Amino acid sequence: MSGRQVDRTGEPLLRVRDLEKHFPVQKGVFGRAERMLKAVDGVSFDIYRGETLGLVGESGCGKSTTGRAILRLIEPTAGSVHFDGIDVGALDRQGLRGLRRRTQFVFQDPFGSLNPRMSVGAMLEEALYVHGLGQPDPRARAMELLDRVGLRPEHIDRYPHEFSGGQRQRLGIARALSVEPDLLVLDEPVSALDVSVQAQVINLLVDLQRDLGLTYLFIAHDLALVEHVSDRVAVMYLGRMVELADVRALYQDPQHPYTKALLSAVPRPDPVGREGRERIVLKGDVPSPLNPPGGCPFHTRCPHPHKDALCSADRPRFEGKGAGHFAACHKVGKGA
Amino acid sequence: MSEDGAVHGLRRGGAPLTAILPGAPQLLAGRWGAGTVALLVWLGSWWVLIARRHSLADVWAAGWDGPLAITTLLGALVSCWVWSLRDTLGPGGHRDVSVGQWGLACRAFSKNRTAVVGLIVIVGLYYVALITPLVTPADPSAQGNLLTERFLPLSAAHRLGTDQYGRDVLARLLYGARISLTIGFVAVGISVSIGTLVGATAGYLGGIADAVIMRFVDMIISFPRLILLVTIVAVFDRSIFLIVVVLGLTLWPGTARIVRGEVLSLREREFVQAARALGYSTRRIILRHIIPNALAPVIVAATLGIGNTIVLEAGLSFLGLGVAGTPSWGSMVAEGRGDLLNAWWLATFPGLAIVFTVLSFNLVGDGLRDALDPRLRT
Repeated sequence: MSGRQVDRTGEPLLRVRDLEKHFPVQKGVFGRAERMLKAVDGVSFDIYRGETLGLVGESGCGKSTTGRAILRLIEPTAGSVHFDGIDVGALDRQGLRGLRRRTQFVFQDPFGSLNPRMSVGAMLEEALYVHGLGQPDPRARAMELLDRVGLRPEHIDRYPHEFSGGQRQRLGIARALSVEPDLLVLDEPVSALDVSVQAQVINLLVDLQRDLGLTYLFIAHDLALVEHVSDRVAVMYLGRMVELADVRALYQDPQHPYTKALLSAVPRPDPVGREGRERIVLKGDVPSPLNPPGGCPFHTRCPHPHKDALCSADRPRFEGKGAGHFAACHKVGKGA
Repeated sequence: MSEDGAVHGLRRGGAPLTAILPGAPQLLAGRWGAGTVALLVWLGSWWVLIARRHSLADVWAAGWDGPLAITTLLGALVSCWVWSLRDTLGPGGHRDVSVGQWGLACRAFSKNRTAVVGLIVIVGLYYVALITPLVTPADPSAQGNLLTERFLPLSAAHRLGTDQYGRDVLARLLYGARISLTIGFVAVGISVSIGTLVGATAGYLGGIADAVIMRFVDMIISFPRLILLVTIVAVFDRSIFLIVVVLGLTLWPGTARIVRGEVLSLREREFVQAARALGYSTRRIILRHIIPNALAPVIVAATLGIGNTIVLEAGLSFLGLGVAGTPSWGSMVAEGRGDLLNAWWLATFPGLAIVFTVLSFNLVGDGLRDALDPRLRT
């Protein structure tokens, strides 16, 4: 949460370096993979213990793919992921199972993420059983988990179709918590919910983080939401990270032109401050990730007044611009 | 109405009535379907038992099917009675029990009248096939006097007449039911087990494993099944075991294709991703998370498949390639077709038996297809 202190001096819980995930795109009947869709193209960031890193960007910019590649739900093409000092990419099957206990995933779609043929109790007890947890009474532990996420323990024998969307999302959270993880990757956990229910689920996540000392990677496209829950925020565009900073720094002083454009689109309940805000409307669509522009991936739509030949020729590095503020833009001066 | 009716039936003295006549309290409460079935099973079973009371000892001593028949009959009587008693005395009103996807499907199925009728016919057929030695005293292969007992029309002694060797058609029809129903059930059981496992494995693993398995499946499908059957049956002994196994081993690729298609879409569903994120083994994911969700179309295909298999077996028997030494519906039609003009009952009754059995399986299959449709609910 903003205003909360996170210790960023030690080793980060999660260290991601140059992560890439390319999907082969097949062409023709017997087509060999001809082109690569670079869903994630060199993403680096750290997450420290106990903090929430918000990951935002437009649809299709590679946010979810990043989340899944970190946990090896899909195999990354290149790059390294270290979780608590462990090289995730080098884990064998046994090691991966150990990782599964410490990292969990909460999915976006509360209707697709629960097995419709399993009762709530069976679902939670299975997770406990597989990891040898919840002894001696897994059923009691499952009820405790339901209580923990704000559901009634008596509902343990119900089936997913008997719950509402918000309740199902709580079930998904309970399942993720069952293995007592350190890191939760939340993939748009509230995008599919009504606004009133969104707030409840967000508050639950905040409470859980405070009580259990969880670390979150919070993937979302709702900038106001991300500002509310995150300690630091990373912005992605076309599979690349364009800016990463402390939540206050990013929202009050965005450096990258893309971030500026995104933030200018956030509605503010502040009629007085409206005058000073200028709405930046980007021209055109996001280029196809199959055929991304050379140089800076954003140069085709960039509204920056000093855009020049360098932008279309050379891909800017994602580098520190001072005070923990990172950006990938030629026109942002260091120490700005 | 139904649950309240059971409670009212109890107040009107439904329990004592159940003790002598299961089905009666249900009928009084206006539940015609359940009441009629229970009453028919109860009265019919007693009737068989009383009519055969003198020959029970002989039946019990006769091979493996005699004791089985008597046990089945007594079992049916007891379970009919217990069901009716529990139905009348059991907790009425609304029970707060959670209903899973299968329970919901059962509810939807029980609202489909034609499908329920089909199911009752099928269960009744299996029941009669099991208690055949009690229903008919005649030996299906015992020949009568060739001068006086050939081509006898329907009568009290031979309810469905006799054939050209003086054999009792009813006895042959009932013993033939065993062949048809066994072959249909076991062959489809084999093919569904193999097909589900192979299809789920191919679909979940994907890539090269999928390609290899499915090309093998294509190969088996492209092989003309009837010719394979005719060859195998002609070369080897025409035992029921061989025919069941050959039918089962040639039918599974259809199931495998259905299951693979389902699994391909299930694999990308988030609850399967969640299972992987929880570190479950591939075996556990396939068996506990994928197959139960891919089973609905398999059950439909299996039910329809039993009907098809019965027709296929009848076709084989008609060609003279069926199970040797035992009457079957197909061979009875084949033998009787030459005498259709002077003894119409020879081919007609086994033909009708095939039609109604297969029709019932198809009705049940259609009912299951509707009841299991996942689009009806989430």
